[in-house]
Amino acid sequence: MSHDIVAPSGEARGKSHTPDAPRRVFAPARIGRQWTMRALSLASPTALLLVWETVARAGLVSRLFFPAPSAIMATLAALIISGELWTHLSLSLQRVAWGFVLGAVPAVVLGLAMGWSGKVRILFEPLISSTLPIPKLVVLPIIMLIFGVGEPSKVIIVAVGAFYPAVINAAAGVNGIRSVYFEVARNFGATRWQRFWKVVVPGSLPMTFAGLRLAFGMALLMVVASEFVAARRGIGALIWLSWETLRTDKLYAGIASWAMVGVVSATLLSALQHYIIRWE
Amino acid sequence: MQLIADDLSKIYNSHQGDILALDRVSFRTHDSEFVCIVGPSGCGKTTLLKILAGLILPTGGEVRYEGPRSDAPLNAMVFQEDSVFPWMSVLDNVAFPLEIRGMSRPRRHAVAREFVNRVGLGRFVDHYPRQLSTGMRQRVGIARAFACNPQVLLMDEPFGALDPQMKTVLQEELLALWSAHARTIIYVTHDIDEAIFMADRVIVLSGQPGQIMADLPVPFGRPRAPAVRTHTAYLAMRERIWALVRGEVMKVLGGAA
Repeated sequence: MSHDIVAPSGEARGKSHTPDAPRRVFAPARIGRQWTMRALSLASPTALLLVWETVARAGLVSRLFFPAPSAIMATLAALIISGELWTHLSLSLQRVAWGFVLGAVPAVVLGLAMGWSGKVRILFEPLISSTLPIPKLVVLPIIMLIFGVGEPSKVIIVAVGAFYPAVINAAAGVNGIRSVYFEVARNFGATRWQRFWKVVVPGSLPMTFAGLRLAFGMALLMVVASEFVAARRGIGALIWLSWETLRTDKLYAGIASWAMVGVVSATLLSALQHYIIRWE
Repeated sequence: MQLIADDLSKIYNSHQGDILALDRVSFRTHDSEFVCIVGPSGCGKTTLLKILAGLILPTGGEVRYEGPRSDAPLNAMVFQEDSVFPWMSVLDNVAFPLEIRGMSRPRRHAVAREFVNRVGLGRFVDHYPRQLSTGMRQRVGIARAFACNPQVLLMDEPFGALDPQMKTVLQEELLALWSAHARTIIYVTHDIDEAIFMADRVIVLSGQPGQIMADLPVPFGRPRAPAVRTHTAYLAMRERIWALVRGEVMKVLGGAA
């Protein structure tokens, strides 16, 4: 046996990537099957829209309550062209952005600290776990009492909503790191600071990121709710004012546009997660 | 570098009362000696190793490292469980101890690459641990421990989770690595054959509390052919250790009945 070169064992040679041999053999069938599945997954939403369109045009349901999808699309297009949608959308997105940064960033810092240090945990956990069960929206009146009906109270309620999932996931993420990783770091002489950056942060990142995604979804919800109550502009205001004036086509157009924001942001965050957490 | 375990004891406090895990364990290694510690499960082998590594403190006694002053770290441990960081590539994992010690990125990567090649994972430097098998990950852990050039290597059943074929291959790899980078190794295992095949000396621990029952030199030179396993002296040593360990296992069974 050589002492300098270790021959690659059978294991190393055999186990390069995930096996791709079967794909070669069954390629056409499998791709065809993929397309079939994809088409099938679109079937039920498409069917719903078709039925809705037909029923609305035939006058079987009230067009006031259920305007045809084509009418909603036309209204949405008009709102986009006139720039009205953008004024609402951009304002809501700004509130989400500020509130998210204000709530989630300190939450992650605090969550990591709580997960790592028993003292920090004992200091903050009672407060966080006792306020956690409160549906965050009920504090909106208090926030409006203190900060008025302007921008700050909307940003703050978004921040409150984003804070909780972010802090809880970050703390749970640190707790979930296997203790052997800390032993390895200590065995190699890592300082506290090195253990934080090399073990705590990356080790908790998958959970932390999942928390940030939840927090973002919460932010989207909170901003609309706060705009229902007290705003003249913003996507929530557009929806609420359309309801008050019985402009149901605009109402649906507002809902559709915010739903798009939800889908696009979830997709982007998911892509970001795969980019950052490449090891999973 | 000599490692001296001087009268080490460890008591764990639990709700059922205090548990004596290690009872006055003393031994002294020679330079570049390969020492295997065998014993029944639950005899405090891992506790002993973690005390030697400085990861836990003994209740009594002390650990001393005696040798010429050196910048090299005193010890590095290879863990029984999967201990390779899933968030680092193979190369960064092996370079991790060097990074901790402040070595520049190009230098530590060059050193790490050498050791990754030595354990036969040269093609996998940029892979993440998730993409590797258990055996390959354990080799990354071994490369990592060697890469930081420790004066003493502490290994806790590094091949315990592997199938027998893979275990044999990795044992031979480890011996090759050790002969190229000679240093003291303390190697814990419950596998008597593994202990005799690998070691210069076998220390047999009793069941709880762990005490040294025997300290036996292995009467074979190196390199060892797999055929030593059929040698009369090998079989005699194996039988002797097995008799000691069997007595301990029977005690546990008797106590439970």
